[in-house]
Amino acid sequence: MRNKQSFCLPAVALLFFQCSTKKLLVENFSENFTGQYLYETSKFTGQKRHTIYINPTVQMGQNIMAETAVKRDSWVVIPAIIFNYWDARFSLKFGSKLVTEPIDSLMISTLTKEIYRSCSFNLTNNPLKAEYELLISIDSLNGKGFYTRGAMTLYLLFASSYDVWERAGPFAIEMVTTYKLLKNNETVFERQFSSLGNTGPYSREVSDAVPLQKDYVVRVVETISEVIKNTNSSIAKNIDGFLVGN
Amino acid sequence: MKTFQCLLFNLFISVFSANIAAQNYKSRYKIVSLDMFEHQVDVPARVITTRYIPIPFDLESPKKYFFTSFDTDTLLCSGIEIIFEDDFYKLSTNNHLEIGSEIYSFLTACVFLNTKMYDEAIAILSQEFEEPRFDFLRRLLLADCMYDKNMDRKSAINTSFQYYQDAHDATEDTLSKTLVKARLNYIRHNEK
Repeated sequence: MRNKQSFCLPAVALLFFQCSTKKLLVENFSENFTGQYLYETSKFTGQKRHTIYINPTVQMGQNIMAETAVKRDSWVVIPAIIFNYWDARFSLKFGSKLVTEPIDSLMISTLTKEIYRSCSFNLTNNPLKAEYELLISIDSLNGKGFYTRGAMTLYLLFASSYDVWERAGPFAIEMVTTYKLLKNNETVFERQFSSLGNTGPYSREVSDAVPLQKDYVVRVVETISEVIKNTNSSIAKNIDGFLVGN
Repeated sequence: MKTFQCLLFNLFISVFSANIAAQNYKSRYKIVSLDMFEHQVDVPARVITTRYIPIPFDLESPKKYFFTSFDTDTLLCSGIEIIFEDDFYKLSTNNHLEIGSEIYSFLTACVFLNTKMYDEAIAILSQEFEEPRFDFLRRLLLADCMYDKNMDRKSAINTSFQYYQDAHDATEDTLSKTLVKARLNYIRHNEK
């Protein structure tokens, strides 16, 4: 009986680490971080001619406001006598709750700042004073990524060795947005823009002092910021181009 | 079999403690030259848990140069290193530093920042410096003061954001811009 207990110990320890990994991952991906970003477009300093009203109601596609989901895809445990090994792979699905600000209001506020910064037209809060009205809809926002954590232990009579590894990413995010410019309630300009971004793959060895999961979740939020930033830059640039031509 | 159990127990403790140790880290300022930062930025996890203060170049023995050099860049590098090593009382013993000069004011602001006297630091860093080499660093540290001063995390981010944007706009250097972006990730990631 005692022998059985001894052999069970490493397996129990490994299972404990595996369970704690998922718990920690769920915890980290339940946090939320600001989606604001730094603007990199050049500042417009000339005379602003046209005036636009941005409709604050952003139409949202299905499942955009979903929660982040963590799912274990596969796991391996080898509880041998002198060698133990475990490895678990998780898939993560992006949920907009990962971002502190609601996606629609983040979109509007960052687009407003972008237009003030880089565009040759003005914005107004009063639709009656505006020449044009801008309508935005987020058709889809999807993101998916991976995370793997594993450990290996090797023990002899008077010595032991272990290794822990983490691998994360790439976490890819795609956002599809449609925007329309209306004049006297008639569409004069319409475009759809698909913005892609990903965290890239990276890994951590046990010697690194910082856990990878926290870094990973911040990178995911940074990626969604980049995706929104690219979308906003494209909207601002295209509308600016249209208005300059008119 | 008892030996074997002891070994297993030892192993369990060592793996467990290594796991715990890996998750305990503390946020802090780190002084780096931009050349060094270029290497640090390749280690993503380090970038989000550390606030880097960029200096023009690395010095092997900053304390020595601080008392012997008249060059502004050297004084800036050595002064910042000394201040953030908590040896800031040495600032007053440097006869090369003219009280009222821009480098003196700038280093004094760093002392205030390091000692968490944010209002005093903001008062100095809010002023324009004639010397352009201070401009980016001044704006960056001003943004840090604005972030640190505010105890509520959400409003700290909102308040400091425009200041980080100003620092970002104040430089054309790609690496300096990356450093400001890393700062944004730092404030995203770290609890106050």
